[in-house]
Amino acid sequence: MNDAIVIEDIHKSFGEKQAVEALDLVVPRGSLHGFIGPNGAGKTTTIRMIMSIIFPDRGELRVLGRPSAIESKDKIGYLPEERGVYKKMKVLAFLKYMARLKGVPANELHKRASQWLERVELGDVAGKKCEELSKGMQQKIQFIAAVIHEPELLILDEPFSGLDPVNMRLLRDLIQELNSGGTTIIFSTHVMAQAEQLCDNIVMINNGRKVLDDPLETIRNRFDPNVIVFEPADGEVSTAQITTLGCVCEANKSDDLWELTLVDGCKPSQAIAEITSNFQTNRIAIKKPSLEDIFIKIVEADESASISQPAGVTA
Amino acid sequence: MNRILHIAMREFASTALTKGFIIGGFIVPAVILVVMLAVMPMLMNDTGPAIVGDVAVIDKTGELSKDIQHRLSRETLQSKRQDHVPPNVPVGTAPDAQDAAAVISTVLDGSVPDLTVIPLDPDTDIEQAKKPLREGAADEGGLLALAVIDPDAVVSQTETGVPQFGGYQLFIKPKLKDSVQATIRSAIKASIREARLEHAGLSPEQVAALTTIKAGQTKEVTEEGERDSIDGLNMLLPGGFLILMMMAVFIGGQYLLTTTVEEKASRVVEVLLSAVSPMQLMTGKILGQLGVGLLIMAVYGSIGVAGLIFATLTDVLDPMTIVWMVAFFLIAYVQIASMMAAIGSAVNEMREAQSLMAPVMAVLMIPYMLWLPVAMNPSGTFATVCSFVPPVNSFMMIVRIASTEPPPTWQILTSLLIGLASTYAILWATAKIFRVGLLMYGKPPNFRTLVRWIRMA
Repeated sequence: MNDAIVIEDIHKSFGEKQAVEALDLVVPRGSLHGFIGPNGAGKTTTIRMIMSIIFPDRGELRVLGRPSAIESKDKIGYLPEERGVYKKMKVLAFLKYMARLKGVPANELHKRASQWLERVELGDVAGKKCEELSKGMQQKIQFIAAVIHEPELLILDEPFSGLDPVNMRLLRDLIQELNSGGTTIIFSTHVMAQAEQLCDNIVMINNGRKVLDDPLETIRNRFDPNVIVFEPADGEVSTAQITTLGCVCEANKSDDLWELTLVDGCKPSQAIAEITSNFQTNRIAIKKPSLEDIFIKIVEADESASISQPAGVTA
Repeated sequence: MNRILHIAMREFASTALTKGFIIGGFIVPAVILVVMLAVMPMLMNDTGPAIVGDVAVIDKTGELSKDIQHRLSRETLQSKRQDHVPPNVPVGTAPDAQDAAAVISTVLDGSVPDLTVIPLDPDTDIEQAKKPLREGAADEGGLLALAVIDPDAVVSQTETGVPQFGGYQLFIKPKLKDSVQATIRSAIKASIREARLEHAGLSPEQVAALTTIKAGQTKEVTEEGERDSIDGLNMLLPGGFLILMMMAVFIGGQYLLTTTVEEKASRVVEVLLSAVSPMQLMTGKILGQLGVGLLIMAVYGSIGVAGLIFATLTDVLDPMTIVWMVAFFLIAYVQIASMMAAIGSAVNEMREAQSLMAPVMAVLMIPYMLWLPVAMNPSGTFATVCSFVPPVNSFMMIVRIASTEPPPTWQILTSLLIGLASTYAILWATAKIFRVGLLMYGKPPNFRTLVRWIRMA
């Protein structure tokens, strides 16, 4: 079987709250999947179900070809959102303990823990107690604990939270390195820029339901671009002049660059033709929607749909 | 299984191999023991300067003054103190409470009083003689006491029938030390007693010979043979076993609660759950703290057994009692520990655990309140019922087993089975709470929530 994770129609509720609803998902081996969604969307619940920490109310789930992650825990690395370390334990002892629990042979514990510490530039803290480390350092220790057993599948829940830009880049490089080495990686985030930089595939969850599941490029192409970036050759163009054009409904200027929002139904090629025929142009381009734009668009659409259709009323 | 052992080993090491545990569990009690046995008597002996003063004696019998003078001399008091035996009490004559009090006071008090006995004329006016007692404080010396001995204190005035004797009256300075009073009284009484014996034509040795009855150590005749019987020990032994078991259960359980709350509060728990299941985690933690409980029981139990060996009382200890204690300890421990683990998993911090701890504390307090009635009547209906009601049955059964009337084997085995069944039920419920509670943060749960979790999991 080539898929690392196969989820079919899983449901999970906590009391009244439906945390995950009819979720289907396939994560092929070797892929780098981004799990995005607003806070409380059901990302962590889904991840915990994948990890067999909690169990779905109904639905099927296969992880690394087995019906439960418990059977392949040694092949899975997991960095939970709620993570910590044993404060009184020394760093090296903590890593060795975690590696032992994940089935690393006793004679390799020391070597692997020390190598990883060097790799994340923390070789000098091996003998320190975990509580003596900064939050960022502790984050890196937790990351090592998730990967020290060389997992086939790595699940990272908000791995970058609390990291400074330097460490964020270090972690990002490590994730990419592991992925290019063949590790299947899923990571959840609500920082869209990180998902854009790292992932081949994006899965978006909102209100417990999957609303997106495609390669990043496909998603961008699917969401019609309706913003054009335009730099006139003649700097003296006014808002009134631009909005008189039939295809433009809104115009915003920042420095010499205009962002023109098109009216519904107007194709970008049409708009470009109209603009270039009316103004001398230095530069004109279609602005591709960022993941953040798509994210906000979907969340807002979902919210307005749920307002127009109150709970309890069925179509 | 391997993982459970790793968790257990870490749990044990992080508790028992810490300075806090070694100091709190062993060094402090050892220091207290040493202080109680060695240092305290030394300190108590050193009670400052000895009392110096006079004891006036109006001896109306005319024959006791010299003897009293001898008995209250510093040399006699010192030798008495060294022997710890009052030389003025003839062997075999039953020393009364005051004699014993005098010895104990002298031993504990430490300082030997420097008393000068001043014999006064038998016709001295008592009121006049008392006057100096009103002047000055007791520690300033001068006259400390006035003893007036009746004329018929030694020789009875009645010619026929049971002899009627007079006695003595003691007047003392306010706030005179109890130990000094007791010493004076003891000397006067011993002097009178010996003089009476002499008048009756008896020597103290004769009295000793007449009144001493040699009796061997009382033996309990059991199926296995005979063993020494010691009053009081029959009650103390069950109490000792109960306290040892409660201590081990409670300390192990308390550590389990603390480490679980810490793991949850430091958010390390979900990291652990990526490697092991909640049940493996709970089992490992319970096993680790079981090691701590057994260590405590072994150390303190050995001290108790060493005490019995030292006092050559090993006969009272049936090895089977220890075997039963370990069996019932395991049951009681797993029950309490799993409850503690469940509570620890449900709360966010130690403060929140207090309200949920109440029923567990009640389980631990009930045996403490019931051990005396059960130990006094170990075969009674009350004791029998108590030893069958979970979760206190383990504690109550061990009290009965260690008592003078051990219960029949069928009752022990029934209690054991009840214990095992209730342990299974408690583990079933607490494991569910543990599984759900570990990942629940926010509002601390109440009992209704815990019941809901049991149903939900």
